[in-house]
Amino acid sequence: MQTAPMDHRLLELVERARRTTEFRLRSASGQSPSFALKDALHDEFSLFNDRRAGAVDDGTWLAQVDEVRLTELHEDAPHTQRSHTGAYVGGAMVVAGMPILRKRFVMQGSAAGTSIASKYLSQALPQKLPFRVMRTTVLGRALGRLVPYAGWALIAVDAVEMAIETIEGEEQAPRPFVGGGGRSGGAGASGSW
Amino acid sequence: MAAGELQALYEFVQQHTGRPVDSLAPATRLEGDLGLYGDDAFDFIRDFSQRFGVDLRGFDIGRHVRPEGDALSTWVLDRLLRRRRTDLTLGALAEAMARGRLASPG
Repeated sequence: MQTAPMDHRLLELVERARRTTEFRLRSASGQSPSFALKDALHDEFSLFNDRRAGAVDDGTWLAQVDEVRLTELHEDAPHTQRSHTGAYVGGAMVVAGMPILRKRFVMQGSAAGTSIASKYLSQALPQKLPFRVMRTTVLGRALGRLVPYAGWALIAVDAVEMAIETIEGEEQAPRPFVGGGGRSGGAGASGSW
Repeated sequence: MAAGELQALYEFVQQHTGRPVDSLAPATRLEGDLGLYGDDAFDFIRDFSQRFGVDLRGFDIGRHVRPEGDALSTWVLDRLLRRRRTDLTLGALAEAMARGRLASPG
């Protein structure tokens, strides 16, 4: 009955050490993964032994790790190769919808601002609609007026995705020695570090 | 302001926008009431000039209606460039018809 919780606890410690190693390797390049993992395991085991000694002195200890041998390493591809296509396309659409072109009634004097999207889409689609869309009845012009809003939407979606990934990344990063006593399941460990 | 010019202008506006003549008045604004801005306003003024022989030299449409573009970008650019626009009314257009010339103030 006592071996199962102990095995589970051991797996928890190893997993936490793995995550600590991952975090340390991300923040400090050039460190050997094997040594980093060994250090993290050493920290976790020492912590466990110290806390256990204060709570239940039943003579059960975790021996320290002599050697860590890594056989396979996986790159954290999703974080390093994230595509920002949505933001680039969205930005281009917003610019295409901005009044950066000038058109004139006469050679001098008045000039009106028009957008790339409105100019070329209304040339390509000059059909008149029987109702007003985006406050115009010209099909191409209505589509041209929608372009920057679609661009802003793409940028917003990309920004939200980036924010979610950042928050998830922070949540996955280990928080060593923070509130460690609360989840240990030890008999009356105070958890004050 | 001659009633004949106003009536001709109202009919032109009706052809262009579909708004009934009896809903128009000298105080009717091009952008605020008729919803004309950007390229639509440009086409309207160009056709108005050709139809009634109004000279547009000295008229800057950008000082009366907002250009093409989304509302957010236009709002930001207006504040950055300190642009202010004055409403263009049908009354002002009718006066321009009488003078044969439409000019922006200042």
